Amino acid sequence: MQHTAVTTETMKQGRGTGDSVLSVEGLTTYFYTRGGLVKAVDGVSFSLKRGEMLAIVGESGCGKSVTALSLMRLVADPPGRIVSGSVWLGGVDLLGLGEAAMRAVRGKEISMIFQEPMTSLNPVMTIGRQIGEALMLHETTSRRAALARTIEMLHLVGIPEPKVRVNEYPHQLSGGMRQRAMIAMALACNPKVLIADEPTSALDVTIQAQIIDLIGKLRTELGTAVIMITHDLGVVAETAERVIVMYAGRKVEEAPVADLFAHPRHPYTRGLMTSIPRLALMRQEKTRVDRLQEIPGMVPALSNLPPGCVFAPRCAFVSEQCRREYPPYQEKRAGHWASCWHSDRLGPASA
Amino acid sequence: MAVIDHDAQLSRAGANVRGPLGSLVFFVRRYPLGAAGALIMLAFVGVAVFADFIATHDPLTTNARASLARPGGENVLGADFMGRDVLARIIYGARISLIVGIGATALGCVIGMAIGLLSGFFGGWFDLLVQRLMDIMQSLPLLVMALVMAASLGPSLTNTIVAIAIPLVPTVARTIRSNTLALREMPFVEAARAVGMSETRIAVQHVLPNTLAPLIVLATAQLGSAILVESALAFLGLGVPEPHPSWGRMLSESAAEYVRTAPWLVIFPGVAISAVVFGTNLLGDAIRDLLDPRQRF
Amino acid sequence: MASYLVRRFLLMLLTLFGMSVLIFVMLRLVPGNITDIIFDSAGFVNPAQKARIERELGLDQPIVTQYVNWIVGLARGDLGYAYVSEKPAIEEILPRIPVTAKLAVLALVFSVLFGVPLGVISAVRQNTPLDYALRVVSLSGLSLPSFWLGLLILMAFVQWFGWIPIYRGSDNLWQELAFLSIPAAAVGFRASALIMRLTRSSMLEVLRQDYIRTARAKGASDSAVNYRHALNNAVLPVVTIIGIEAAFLIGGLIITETVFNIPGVARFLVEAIRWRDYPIVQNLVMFIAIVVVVVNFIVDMAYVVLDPRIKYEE
Repeated sequence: MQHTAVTTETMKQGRGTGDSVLSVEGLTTYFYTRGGLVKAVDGVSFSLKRGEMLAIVGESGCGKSVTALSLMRLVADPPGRIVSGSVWLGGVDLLGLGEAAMRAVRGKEISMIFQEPMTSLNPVMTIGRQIGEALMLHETTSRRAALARTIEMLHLVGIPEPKVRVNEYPHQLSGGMRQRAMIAMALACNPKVLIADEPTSALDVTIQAQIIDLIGKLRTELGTAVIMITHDLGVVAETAERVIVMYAGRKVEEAPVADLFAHPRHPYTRGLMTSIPRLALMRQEKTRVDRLQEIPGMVPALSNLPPGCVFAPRCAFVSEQCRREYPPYQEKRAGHWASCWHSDRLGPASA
Repeated sequence: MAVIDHDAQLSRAGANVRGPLGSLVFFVRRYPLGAAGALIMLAFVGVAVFADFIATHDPLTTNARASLARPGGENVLGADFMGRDVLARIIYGARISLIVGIGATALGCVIGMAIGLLSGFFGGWFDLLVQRLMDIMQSLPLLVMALVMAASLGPSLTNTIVAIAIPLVPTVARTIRSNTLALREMPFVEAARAVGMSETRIAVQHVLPNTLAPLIVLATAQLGSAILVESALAFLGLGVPEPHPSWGRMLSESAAEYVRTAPWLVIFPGVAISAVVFGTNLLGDAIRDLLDPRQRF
Repeated sequence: MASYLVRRFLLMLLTLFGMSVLIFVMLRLVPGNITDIIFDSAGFVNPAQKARIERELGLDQPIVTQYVNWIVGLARGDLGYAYVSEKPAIEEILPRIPVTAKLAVLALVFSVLFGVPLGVISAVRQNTPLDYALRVVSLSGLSLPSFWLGLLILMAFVQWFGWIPIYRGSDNLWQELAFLSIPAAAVGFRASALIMRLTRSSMLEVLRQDYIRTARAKGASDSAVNYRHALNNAVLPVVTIIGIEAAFLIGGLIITETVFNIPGVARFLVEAIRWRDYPIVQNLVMFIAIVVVVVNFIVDMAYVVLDPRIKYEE
């Protein structure tokens, strides 16, 4: 089931050449389970410019992690399967590559860091060897060169005494340092794109800020484009240039960050913002927010989606049309797209 | 991108399963080995229960004329040196293996579960003591312990069951205990406490049902071990005594002497034992895969 | 790390002590002792004679004293006298140990050499026909009674080669080992099945971990992931498994020595049990217990060396 509005819109955004380094078109990933067909990612398209920081935001289960894994072709098959779409990186469709060719791409052109640094690092290998492995796979065959570069990378990510740390095991490092090591491993071969899947969710708040800063700094220094996947709007506000909001496997809104916060064009996005007191304050609401406004209801089971707009059951602005027809993905403001019949009713800044 | 047949994929994952018959078919297709094991077990139990109706000969009647008869004709699987029909002895031997096997496993599991549950749930010095005891008991190989117990208790059907059940207890107790420890900390137990439920009621109503799944998996594995140990004891002359026909004893009576002259005495009882244990193992594996939450998707 | 070693050693001693009590108690569960059995077979009971024999054998003393005597004797190397042969127990036991030891080592080597690689292959090729085949083979290995396997091997030799492999001691070590490899295969087959299954599940467990996903995200090939990342982690529990093997193996040795008529210490245990030769049984079982516990201790130490997480825990 393709949304034709989506496809035409993507045509305008180029194909992973020129200014945009990554171009995703109609990515669709299904999971075949006992409970039925789960449409984890349903026709998602976007593109990423060179050195850009794109945030993908949404609650658990909205499909953002599966999107990331699909880009890397790391989705477990069975039960998952990338059903259709294309992922253009440097003029090549990653979804059409053979496995061996894809392995050459992973870690070299596009890398990923994960949420849990402790379990994501091999406990019986030194971090030097693990980072070195990335280098030996793609760039060099000399152990010595790999070691030297590893130490450089450790230094770059801000790990003190890199020459000593190189021979240490993951459990000897603190959580923040492990995450830095993961970042070093991911950026060792200077990929064009870095996918960060909730990199700070498992860390303490103060460390979170450090890691976010580090990613930002490395982005500027190395020119890597970053896809930051998170459920934390605070992180989005601080770092992203552009934001995509996902819900139930689909894109519901997309905009430059300031515009998104100032003028949300989808009720879900607005709901996300007003349920966080800090942000409400940030937006300098004229009228006081007396209570947290929660979004009633729950995310629907992805195997049992309603017809029409997916958010309709929980939406405050819902109408008959919403329940019947899926709203087209349209440009509501300059560079700001959303999929809603009633974006205009959201108004500029209302409680 | 290749065209994908969604319905086929979904059927493979079991999404279109309807009703108990559908579930059964799904189980058979997904776990063919387990289904085979279940079939073997059913046959085993069937033979044991309906032995009187299936056997053509009496297993205990001796018949000098039929001594060491070859398979075929009157004695389908041959006869031993006393003229007793091999097939009949195998059929009735199933009964003994079933009684001892299930008896010992059930006894061992019940005792082990009780100990594990109490130990894990209430902790304290009881737990410490019991843990040490279980450790010690587990240090001895199963057969050795069963041998010693069988020898000291004396030969009888009940004693054999006990002799095999006791060594099975530590493994069960240990598994149930670690399971209980994990469950004890779970939120739903805390919630029950907060509502004011007594510890005993929590143990019985909340924790116990959740230990049943691993217990079932363990029990099927233990059943196989129990049957093997029973036949080993019988082979060594320390198992169920005469006149109960036991597969293990059939093999010991026929040992090295008849290997050359009467191979059927060696082959058939062994096949029986192997088949049954094989069935329990297959079934146990399938049940474990089935109940393992991580396997479900 | 030293404190860890010391703690484990003390724990080992405690376990051995507990086991001696357990063994002692197990053998005396049912009232009556060897004198009853002697007189049973004789058909009548002469109380005076019975009392005299009991005194000679030290059976008239209180249980606790008997136990203490035994333990003290153990520490001194005096294992008492065999009831049946009336020779010092230690003279009966010691000469039978070397054969059993050789058989055990051969069986263990066989089981590891077969079990570990096949388990790894089975895990790496999960759910393929090869995996199913290997699983069926390993399950059947676990399902076969070891004595039956021994008997079948004997039968095969009789059918195809015309002779029964009866054990004859040999001065030539290699000849002896060559002969022993047959029963070792019988014992080892079951053991290798167990190792294969446990290796397989250990590998599968490891392959599910997050760091395997990270390795793939780096672009590592399947063989690098399986053999460099997964195996190094999966091997740790396998080492523990080898400790469990020791216990498992002993049961198989008892059976196989009986079937192949090998004059080892395991077969001796069965004989002693049949003759109710309690001093022998007690000491042999204790010996088995000591072997198992010591092997487990060694395995623990190996684990400490292999797993970097433990090394730095203190």
